[in-house]
Amino acid sequence: MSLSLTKNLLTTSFLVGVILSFSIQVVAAKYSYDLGYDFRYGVHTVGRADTATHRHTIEYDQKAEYNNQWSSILGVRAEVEAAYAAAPDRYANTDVLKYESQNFFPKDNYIQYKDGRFRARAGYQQIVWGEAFGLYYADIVNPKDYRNAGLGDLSRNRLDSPLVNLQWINSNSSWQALYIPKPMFSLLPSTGSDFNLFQLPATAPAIPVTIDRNPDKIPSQGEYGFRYSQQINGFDFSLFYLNYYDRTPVYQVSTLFVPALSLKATPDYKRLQSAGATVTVDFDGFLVRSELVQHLNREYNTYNGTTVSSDKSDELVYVVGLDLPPSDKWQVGFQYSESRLKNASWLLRKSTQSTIAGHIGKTFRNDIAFDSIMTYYTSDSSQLLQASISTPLSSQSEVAIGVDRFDGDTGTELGRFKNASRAWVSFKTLLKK
Amino acid sequence: MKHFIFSILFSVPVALLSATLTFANISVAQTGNEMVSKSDSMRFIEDPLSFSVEVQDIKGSSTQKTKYKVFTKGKKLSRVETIFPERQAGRKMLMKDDDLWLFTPDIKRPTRVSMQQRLTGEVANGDIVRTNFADDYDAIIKGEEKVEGQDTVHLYLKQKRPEVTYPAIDFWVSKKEYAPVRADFKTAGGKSLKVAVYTDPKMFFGHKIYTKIEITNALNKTQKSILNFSGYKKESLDESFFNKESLNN
Repeated sequence: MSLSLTKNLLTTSFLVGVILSFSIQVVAAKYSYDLGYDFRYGVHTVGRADTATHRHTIEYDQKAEYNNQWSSILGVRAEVEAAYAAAPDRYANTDVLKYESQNFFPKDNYIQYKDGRFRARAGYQQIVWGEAFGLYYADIVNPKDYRNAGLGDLSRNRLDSPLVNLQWINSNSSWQALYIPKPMFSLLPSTGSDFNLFQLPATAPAIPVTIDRNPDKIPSQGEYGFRYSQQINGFDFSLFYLNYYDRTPVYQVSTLFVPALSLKATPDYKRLQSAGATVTVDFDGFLVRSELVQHLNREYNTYNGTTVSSDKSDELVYVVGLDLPPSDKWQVGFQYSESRLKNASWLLRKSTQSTIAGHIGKTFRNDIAFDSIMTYYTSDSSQLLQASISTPLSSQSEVAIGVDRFDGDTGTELGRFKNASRAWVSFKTLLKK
Repeated sequence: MKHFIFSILFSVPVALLSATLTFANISVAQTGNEMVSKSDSMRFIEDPLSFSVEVQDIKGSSTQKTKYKVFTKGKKLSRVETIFPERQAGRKMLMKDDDLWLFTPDIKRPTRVSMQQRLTGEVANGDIVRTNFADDYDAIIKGEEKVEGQDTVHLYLKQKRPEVTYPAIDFWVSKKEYAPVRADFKTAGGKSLKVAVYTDPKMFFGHKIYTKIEITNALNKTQKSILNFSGYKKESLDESFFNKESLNN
């Protein structure tokens, strides 16, 4: 059987699985529903205080259990973002207004078979590898939604992918094998976004850069990986490997002369292999988390002063975190991470980037919670402060206020988003049946 | 009340008694430990099972209600799932020996948390899922007293290892059948932290189980928590159910 036939059969099986899952819900013996709604409104705190976000989100999740072996999950999320239309002088005629005002995402949509220690899932799902907080170091399987620079819930920013997930779970260890027939890629901020990541060198203002949204080369080969995890004598460790396409592209840049002079950046997704390990251990209340990931021959955009091109380099990423023992219900943790590129010629980023992050949180009486994270790039002194306070309104809903403040020089990793700094208020509610 | 704590205790092999102990001390300690074991059997069933715990957390005039579903297997494996309030539904906590993991829907992965997290609440998770004193404490008989209107034996429990949440417990068991009556949880310095009173015995699967615990903060008596255990059901739970990788299920 050819590889492409196998892939097509597996792709078809996902669709059939999802349709079957949906159909069977009707006659399921036992099922439950969650309906969630949330609202977030934010204003810019640097420069003009106009609307930064005005978002309504509805989520629906349905779980059906047919018997002890078979179950399925159906989930969808829809979002409307009104901020871009509300600030036409800031966002008019930009891709962000055109492409990011409405979104529809599949959430977990899979059918599961479980027999003793064996578990198989087919369909859209999230696979989370890693132990650290904040950034997605070892969390490499699913593409991410980076359009808001990763602010917000981690599970929302992680995009469900269609895949086959086989697991053998013992009492203290587990094996996992994945096959992803159709690669999916991260969503990057559009031109005009507060969080535009496009890192081509500065061009003359008169020469606009357009990102090609329909590239000819879209990878179609399947991806695969595995993970082994073990808990022993208070240690949690895991080893993993993934053979896949880089979730973020390099860009091929070309010059257009019609209708006017402009640059076109076409995303190109490269094959990548990544392997890594995680270790977590509790030393008498001091919890140490660590991750190490090696990306082999990852491709990066380069710029030699006249031409934008790309080059390959191994990348080593590691992170070490320490959670202190809670004191009077305060929770405090620190984390250091570093990314090293072996081949540093003409890179558009520094060859070694490191961050230090600190986390402080406390849950007070009546479930009022305070949470804050400070992230600092040691390589360029840019920083991000995220702080929030939430309080329940009822058993089903809560309200929160918070700030996300970026700081640093223009052109630094976090300072370039300074004008995206915002204060926000949110409301969440969840109905369950 | 929000976070339940995994408090007390996980078992370790019973330590060998020192050869230097006197015969009289051995005899007294064994008797006290036997009473504690008998008492444990009226607060905890070792068979794989599930049950519900409703907690009323009272502080002055305000009351918070929380509901959990608990799965246990033996003395060392337990899994607590939040049912109420709905906004916290989906949170799961796994306790395995001295190791703890927390699963929250917004992170969507099991996160290892420190065993000290057991201490972040008025009521310890161990008060819900782990009521086994015999493995974690050595008992000494201090005498007989009338407590909560009952004739009791007063036991002094001393921790066998530092991982145990409470260094010491003054524990009163009924003189008649060594049923739990009252426990006074203490610091290493002997300061009282909280007091638990056990009531409402009911029969489940041939075991008499005390289904209500009222826990009062010894430092502020207007703060108290009432735990009601119900819905005991035998389950077929493979040990893989208590692997952190199964929490996303």
